[in-house]
Amino acid sequence: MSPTDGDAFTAASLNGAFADLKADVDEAPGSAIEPSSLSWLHLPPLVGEDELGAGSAPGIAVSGGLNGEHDYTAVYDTFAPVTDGVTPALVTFAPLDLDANTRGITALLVLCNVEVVRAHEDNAGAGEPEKFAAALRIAYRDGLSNWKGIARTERFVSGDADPSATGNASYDKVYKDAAIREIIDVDVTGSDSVSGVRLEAAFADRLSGAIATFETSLFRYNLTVLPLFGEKS
Amino acid sequence: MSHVFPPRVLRPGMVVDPDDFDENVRAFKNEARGRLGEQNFKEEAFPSRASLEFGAGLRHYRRGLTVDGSDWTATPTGTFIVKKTPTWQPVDDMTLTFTSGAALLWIMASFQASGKPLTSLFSPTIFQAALRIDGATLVNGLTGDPDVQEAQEITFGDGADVTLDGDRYMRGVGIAQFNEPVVVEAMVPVGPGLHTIDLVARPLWYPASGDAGRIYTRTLIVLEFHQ
Repeated sequence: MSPTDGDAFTAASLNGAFADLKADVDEAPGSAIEPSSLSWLHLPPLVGEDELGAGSAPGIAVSGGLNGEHDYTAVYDTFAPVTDGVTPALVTFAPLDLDANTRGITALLVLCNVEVVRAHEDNAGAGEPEKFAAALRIAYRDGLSNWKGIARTERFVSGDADPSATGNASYDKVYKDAAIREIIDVDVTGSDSVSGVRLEAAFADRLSGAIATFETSLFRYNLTVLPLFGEKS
Repeated sequence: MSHVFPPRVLRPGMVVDPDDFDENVRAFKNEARGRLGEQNFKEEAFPSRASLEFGAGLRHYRRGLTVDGSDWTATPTGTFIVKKTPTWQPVDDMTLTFTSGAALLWIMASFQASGKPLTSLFSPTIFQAALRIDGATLVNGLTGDPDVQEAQEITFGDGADVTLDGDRYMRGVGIAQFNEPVVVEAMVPVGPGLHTIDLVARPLWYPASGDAGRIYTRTLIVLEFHQ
């Protein structure tokens, strides 16, 4: 209680006045702060650039492939992890429950680009360029070993080819950048404990006959995973 | 406003009136209740996220639909078909409406696009996709060339399976190939109020038979950074 007219100043009344003032400051609502008052100098990271990263190498969780072209022969709907032979398209971190964690991380923002070079099938005939595609998806690791594909990140990439040409060599070239953006949140993971994110690839076909020699070929890629600390709406 | 000057100056030797003291305290309380400005906060005033109210600083929103696109020759439930009408068409399940403060929005739409399978090399379907905020199309958030109206008016609607306009093709006006993952993004400052973000698409070229394009699995993400 603050001192009022006629009261003597006491330790209690002065403490009360300052306690009221402190409470007001501590509980200042958002509306008390003028727009643009808070800059990056005042605030902690809202996108956790320093929160993910494997082991002792914290940083924005990025994986890049610059070490050459690689082929994938998994047939959709099974997938193989993407790598350039040296650097896998993989981000790992300490297990995280997106439904409840003390760090306030509510989601992971995944940014992925990959160069699709070829989707190739020896048995494909003329007029069938639309029959096969490179398949891509993002997967997360539940616990420390159980990888789960995320259906809403599945993408298919086909070439831009001349169906009147003969021979598969005319239409197996893709040369496209495939981009994927997605949020991994509790809607995806449920109660799983997430400890990694990776890019996966496969070969998908709609040929009527059996496939023989086939492959999806990828070249450069990048995979970035950013933890989001904000409120999920 | 950020510096508080106590209305009652107390000097050494003065007899302090409690009302004067209270008036000084009130000045600071009023500041904390509605007029905190940039200079009220020192550098790294909030050193950890734990010191912020949940939701302060950042909110994120997501809409979308997962469609099994593994058989791209089919039309699975949930497929959005771009109609043959020369207008921007809102893509189903890709609209977000929310109330924000003054904020910077990072908007991302990621989707599986497909034109009709080719009938000849030079007769693909072409459509264009764009982000829209409060009904305004974002020129920095669309596929291809935003200045395509003229070319569209010249050739749009003939419905014929004809040779592709070379100028259009070279300017990358739209999504011509079937089976193509697409991302469009934009960062937009907004004022306080209700905002609607959506993904729209419009046809630019199509053969006589079939539709003008398809969108399968899609996601719309908005990160709202408060200012």
